[in-house]
Amino acid sequence: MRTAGHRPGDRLTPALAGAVALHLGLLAILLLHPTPPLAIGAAVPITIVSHAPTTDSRRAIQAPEAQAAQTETPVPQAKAPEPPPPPPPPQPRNPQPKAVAAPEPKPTPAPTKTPLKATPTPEAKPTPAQPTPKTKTAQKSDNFSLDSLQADVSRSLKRSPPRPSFAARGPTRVETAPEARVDAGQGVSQSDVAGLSQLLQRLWNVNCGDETVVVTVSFKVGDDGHLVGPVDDHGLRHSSNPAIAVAAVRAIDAVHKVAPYDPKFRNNTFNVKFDAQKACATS
Amino acid sequence: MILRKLSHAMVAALAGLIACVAALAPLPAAADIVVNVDQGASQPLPIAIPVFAGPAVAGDIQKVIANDLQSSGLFRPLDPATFPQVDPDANVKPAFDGWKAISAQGLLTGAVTNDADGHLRVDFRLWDVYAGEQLLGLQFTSTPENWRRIAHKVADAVYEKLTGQQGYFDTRVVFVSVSGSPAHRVRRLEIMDQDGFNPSHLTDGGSEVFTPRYSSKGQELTYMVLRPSGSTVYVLNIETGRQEALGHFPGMVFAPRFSPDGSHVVLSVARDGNTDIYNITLASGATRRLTTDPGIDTSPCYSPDGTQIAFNSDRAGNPELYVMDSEGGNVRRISFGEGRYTTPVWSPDGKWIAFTKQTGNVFHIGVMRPDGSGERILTSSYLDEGPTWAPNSHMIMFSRDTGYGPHLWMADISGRVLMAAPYNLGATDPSWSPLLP
Repeated sequence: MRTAGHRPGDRLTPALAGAVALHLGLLAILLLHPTPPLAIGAAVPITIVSHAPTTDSRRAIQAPEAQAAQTETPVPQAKAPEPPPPPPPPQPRNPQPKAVAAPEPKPTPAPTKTPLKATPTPEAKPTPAQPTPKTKTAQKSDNFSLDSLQADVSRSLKRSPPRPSFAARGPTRVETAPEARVDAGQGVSQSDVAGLSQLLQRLWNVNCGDETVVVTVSFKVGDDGHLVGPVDDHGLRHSSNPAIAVAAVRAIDAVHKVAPYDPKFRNNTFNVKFDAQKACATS
Repeated sequence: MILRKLSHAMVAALAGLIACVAALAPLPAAADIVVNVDQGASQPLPIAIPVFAGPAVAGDIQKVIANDLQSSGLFRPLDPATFPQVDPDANVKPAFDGWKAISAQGLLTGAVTNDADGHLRVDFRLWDVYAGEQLLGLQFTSTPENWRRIAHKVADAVYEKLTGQQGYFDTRVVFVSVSGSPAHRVRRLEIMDQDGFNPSHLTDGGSEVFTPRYSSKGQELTYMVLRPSGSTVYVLNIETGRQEALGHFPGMVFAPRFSPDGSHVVLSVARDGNTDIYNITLASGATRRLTTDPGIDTSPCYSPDGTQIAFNSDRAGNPELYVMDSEGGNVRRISFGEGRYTTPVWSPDGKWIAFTKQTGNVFHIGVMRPDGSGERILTSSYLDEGPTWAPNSHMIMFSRDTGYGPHLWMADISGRVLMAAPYNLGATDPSWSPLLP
């Protein structure tokens, strides 16, 4: 190939000779080592060099930036700690902690009934029709009928709005003051447990893979509503079966997400069974 | 009588009261409290993937990882604008509270480095935000131009750690691209990364190609070329480009497919008015007939252990799925549902057989166990056909035609994920590669 400025009769300069030799050499290399005709699929292996070394956590500890975050989506987190789940369906009872927290004298029917009758003024103009037959039965059964009692109780629960309390609130209140809560949470009712179960259901991101497993994790809730020590997964997180390991990780995450736990759960140890088989079958 | 009624009422009321009191009664203080959770929210897992520290390619790597995870339908990469830290140091334990505040369940941090030997190195760590622990810490190296594959490898590692299933992102898909008007269709063999990148034609469109299938080793594929004189089956090594014709068959051959060890190809051949399944030994070219039934036997597919072959046949009057031993004996029918079953494909883990099913004017992709149990329909449309499995036996790609030409689609076997594959042009007959080396 001719270059501009060169005439046919020119002698080869050393530079030109060198360039020609270089091109010939390259051509020879290409001929000797032909590239595969179809390099499209060529896969260069990836080398896994090593597992990363252990983490230096000093900077995180020394730099406790509050991480206020551009909380664009703090909603789920902010909501989680609130104890919104209404108590489970069966009995529409008033979920005031008092009922649970006062386990001393069994509130026999009588005292409950008295205040109901004692407050006929505000709304005790119950509908005209209904009361009549019921009072009849009550009279007939000689002033003791569990039916009417139950009806009265449920009616009053529906009817009476929560009245403003003049008692002290928050940590100054005797029952909720931290010093008074050494054994707080021990009076956990079954419906409280059901409420906790519902909360965990909402926060448990179940892994519905090919293999669904059941894992149980244990943990203790401390005075401040946070977990005391790590969640005990009984070694499942390090299982050689990845499905089990993942199930354990997700269960532990759900347990962490609930924190801080409601005061009634504090100072208790929980064993939570996460059943992915059932959860994935229904979801 | 009244007394009896009353006593019934009293007993019922008493029982109700007891139940009420029992619910309110505190549990024993000393015992552990047992909680059963048997419902959950199966949702895409929120994961934060900040850009890895390092050169500009770090940003590209982050995008590929996020795209891979999101495309699986099992992850929800969070908006980087909400991150509490822009470039967290991969070697420092993160301050988890900030990440919890944006509801990140997983956090992936990493660094990209150009090594002295010219290699690209990616170090990364996966963190469990709520437990505050490291789940994974790995390092990958390769040549710089291979950065996309490194990103896929990272995504595979994260996927596996957080789902318990093998990843499938570092894979390719071979398929037939379809272009031109119906009267002048051009069908070319094409290959691309599973995320749609690096598409390349393997044939020039001069002949009509059908049913490409990867070998389980990943370097070879087999496909069929249809000419007026008949059809030819080829085996193509996609790394060397070497191509070999398996033989020219008078009439029609259908759907050649490799045995798991890559030493045989099974296919169906229409000969003398009967379509049966044949086995070809690649080393010798020896051909053996596996079925002799007068019905049409097609779409053979080996089980991953090579001991059985699934196929479809109309020997019972309607196209149904059958399984036989790899030598051709012990034939048993496995599909008994309503409709026409075709194109059975064994999953790489051997637990499922994917198939095409037609009921009325609707086509479906479905899966069932190899014994015919557990049939599950995953998709429905005007025309869904030709399923192929990702190497993790969880994701399926298939061809869907809604009246505007065939396109590639993907679904997972739970039925929760259904989406168009990342290839916008006309395409059919996909075949998913195994994980790349």
